[in-house]
Amino acid sequence: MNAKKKMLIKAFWSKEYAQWIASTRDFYAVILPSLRKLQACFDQALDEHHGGGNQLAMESYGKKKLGEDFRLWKVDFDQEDECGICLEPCTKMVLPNCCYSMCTKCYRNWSTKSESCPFCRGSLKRDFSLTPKALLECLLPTAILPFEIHCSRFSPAVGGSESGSPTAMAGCAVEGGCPSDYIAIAISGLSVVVLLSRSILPFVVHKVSRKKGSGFWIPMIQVLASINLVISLVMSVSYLRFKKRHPWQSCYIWAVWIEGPLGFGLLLSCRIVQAFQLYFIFGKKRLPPLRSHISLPLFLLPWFALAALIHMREPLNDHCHMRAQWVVPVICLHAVFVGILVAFTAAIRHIEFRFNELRDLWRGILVAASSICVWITSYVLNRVHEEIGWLQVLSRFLLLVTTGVLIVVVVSISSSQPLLSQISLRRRESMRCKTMGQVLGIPDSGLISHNEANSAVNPNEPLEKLLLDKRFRQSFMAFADSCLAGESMHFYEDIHELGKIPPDDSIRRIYMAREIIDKYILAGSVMEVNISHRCRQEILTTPDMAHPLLFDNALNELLQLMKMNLARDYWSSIFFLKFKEETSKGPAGHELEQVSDCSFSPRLSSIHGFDDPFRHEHLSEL
Amino acid sequence: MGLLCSRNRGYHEADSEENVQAEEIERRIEQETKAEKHIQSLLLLGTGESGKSTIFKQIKLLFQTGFNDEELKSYIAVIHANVYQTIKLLHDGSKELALNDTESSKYVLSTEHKDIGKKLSQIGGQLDYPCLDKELATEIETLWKDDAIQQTYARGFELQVPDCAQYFMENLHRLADANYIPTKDDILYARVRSTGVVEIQFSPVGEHKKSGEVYRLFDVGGQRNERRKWIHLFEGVSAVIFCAAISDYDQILFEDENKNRMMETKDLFEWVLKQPCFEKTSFMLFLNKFDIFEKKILKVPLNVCEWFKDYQPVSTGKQEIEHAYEFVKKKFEELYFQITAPACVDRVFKVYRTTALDQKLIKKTFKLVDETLRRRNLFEAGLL
Repeated sequence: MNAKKKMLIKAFWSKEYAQWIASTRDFYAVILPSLRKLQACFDQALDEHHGGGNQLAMESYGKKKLGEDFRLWKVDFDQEDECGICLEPCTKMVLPNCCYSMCTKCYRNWSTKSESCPFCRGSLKRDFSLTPKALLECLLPTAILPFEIHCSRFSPAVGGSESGSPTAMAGCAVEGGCPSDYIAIAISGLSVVVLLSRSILPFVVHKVSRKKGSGFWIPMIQVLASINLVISLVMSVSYLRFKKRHPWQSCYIWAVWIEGPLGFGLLLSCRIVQAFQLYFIFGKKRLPPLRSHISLPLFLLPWFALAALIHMREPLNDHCHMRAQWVVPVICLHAVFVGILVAFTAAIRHIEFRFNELRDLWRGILVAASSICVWITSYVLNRVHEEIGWLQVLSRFLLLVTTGVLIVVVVSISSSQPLLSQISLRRRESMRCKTMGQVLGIPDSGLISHNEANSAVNPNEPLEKLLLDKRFRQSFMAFADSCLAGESMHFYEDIHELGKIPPDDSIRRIYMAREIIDKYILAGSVMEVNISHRCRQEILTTPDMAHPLLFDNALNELLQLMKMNLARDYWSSIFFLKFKEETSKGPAGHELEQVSDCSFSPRLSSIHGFDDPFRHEHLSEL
Repeated sequence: MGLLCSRNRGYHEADSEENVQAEEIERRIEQETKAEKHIQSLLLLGTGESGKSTIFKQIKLLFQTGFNDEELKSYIAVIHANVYQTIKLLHDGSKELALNDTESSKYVLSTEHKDIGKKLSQIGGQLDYPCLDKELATEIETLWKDDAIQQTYARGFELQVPDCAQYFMENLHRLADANYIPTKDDILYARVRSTGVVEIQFSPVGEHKKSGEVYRLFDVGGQRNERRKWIHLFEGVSAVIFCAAISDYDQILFEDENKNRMMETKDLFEWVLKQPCFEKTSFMLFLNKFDIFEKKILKVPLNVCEWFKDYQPVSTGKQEIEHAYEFVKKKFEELYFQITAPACVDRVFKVYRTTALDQKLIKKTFKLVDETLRRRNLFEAGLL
């Protein structure tokens, strides 16, 4: 019998059990009764109740999920034994510390009266030292105690430790640390650096001011998601040789949460939100009905749901691998999202974009789809040919490299901030940040033509007529800027440029209109203009962004504002004097000194301007 | 900052002259810096239409030379624009209410006035307003007297009807006169949204700079988009005059029709108090538009505003007005002391009841403000 006992114990400690995450309850439910059988039935066949070998029996028990029902644990015990207290044949409970047994009823009665064992006076309190030695000492007729067992599960590290496993580890193919692994990590690190530099470049080098709203955040979130994806792959697939000892190194955090909802899922969702915005703005010619801070979480919901489901079911092993039945839904979700991106891109494929948005989208789709194919093939090959070491190494390498390529290609700023995507370190002429008007090729944008007639400006003419003259406009704009009211004039200027685009060229109109809305109309924007609520809502909920009269009401309101407010102060300001002098035929420059005795009512003399000659004269008169 | 004027002055001349010029400029800068130290800057802050520009105009009338003929004439266009805009607003508002409201019949214009209404609405929508003549004035008056328009005016808190509507409508014939010159009151009632920043420098005691304090007063726009420009003015301010119109507890914002004006005032007041550069700045709270408040409190209870929802009316008439005013004042004071950090507990905080249109009251109020500031200056200089 010793041999059989040994075999059993050896089986218990074998790899199958090592991989099986057992609880103390499971131990009491399964292992102990089985060992008891071995003890009790020297002559009987081992598989009286269970059929099949012991190993099989234990495995089948191991894979059953045991619940709170204690009766399940009691049914398999022999009925021959009697309770030591009431001498009735019954199913028994066993005390874990001293392994004496009694029937359930007697135990209940006894436990209300005393805390010590009725047979040996040992303590009834639980002692959780489940060493193999204690186990062996306890090979007695058994039953389970009705205590609530609070204990921690065997940690995966103990269960998964390589120390007792019989199979030989094939070096770095399984553990990680091969040279190709390091190369792959280096390549992906390089791609992260390229990505970061491309996104941060406009803000750091060219000192472009940050746009408020989703146009800024969505590309940044994409960058973050890409970094998450790369790091999650590095941590969860065994590239580096480290033991997962800390809770933060757990597979679930990296392979499930950070790779899915916060990595690939977030990246693709952002791209989908961008394509969604493009579809509405250029396809349907209106602003998207769902703001991005609602649509993005909406797209992320399936990822979070799947991640939560996986976390609850816990099908991952210590190498962060899942069985096929779990991998399939995960890959399906990845593929579905790429499919959604394809759908949106196909819907806008006929539009002639000017900043290569479509090209970026197709490239991203291509690379994402090929990445998924690479992942699927490598997974399948690894499963089929588990023993081939170099296959594992190669597939790991390819995985990380394709992810590196993916993140560089998929992240795109052209959809959210078209002007920024024009800036590039390589080309010299695009070092200056151009306005949208210049990029779209609107004639005469930003240039002062010197061909205009030098007609005298008559203050009695209505302002809107005067503003048609470019130089007057420039002068008035400078005045408005000096008293911090310049946004109205810049708005006027941009609307003027919008008006130069022919009405049937709706794509360019939409680009310009979108730029104007982002800069002037959205609440909290950098140069927000002073218009009424109704006006603003009219523009933001318009059904046709290419409409020629879209900004008409707003322009009217602002012109009224300028007429009533700024114009009166302009005529007596130095800007007008300078303008008059520039348009007059006389010599320029020194006439400034002659006008000091004009009636001068400064709107805003200065905030910090000590170099104002008129202020000096004004003070000296006091 | 932002001044284009003096860059090239004197730099075309010969070197020695250049040096002389440079010295001259240095001297002036020094003089000015010394002068700057004695100049106290005051900021007029507040939400849109709280009366900041009116107070600004009052100060100009009281302590500066006032308005000359040219400026008075320039206000005619503003006043006429106000008239046209008001009547257009009321007409369009009555049409909207006739469509959407449950009691639509009382907002329907009588048939003979429909044509006038359309015409005036069209004029009001133009950029360039025609001059107000007798004919137009009569038409506007007939439309104003129409029942539907009066009912719409009673619902004026939902539309953005300016506070000057009643005053101008009553004086239409005077305004339409060919030789009309706006009176001081007309100018004070005229409503223009401010944008950007305007500044004046004045001295409350006579014209001599040396015998009194010199103040520099800044007026700003109150709407949300204008507020990001305020930050340029915050440094080195002696006192902030925060204007809060207590009569708009039932009105909504011009720039966001989903927010109550009083709640916006409350939020803005909190924001201004929390600014780090105002730790040592005195705060003068002007609870403005008391005249409108007096009339409104008897018709519309204070509870319509969320902030005042725990208000209990006690009586009627004058007592009620006083009680309501004290309640509002207490609310603002509570808010102030709740927000003020222990570090700035010794900054000056005073509340004044004002009606910006009343010149005598503003003069008196400003004298009190002046006194407070002077006392504080002496205190800080260690002489008190």
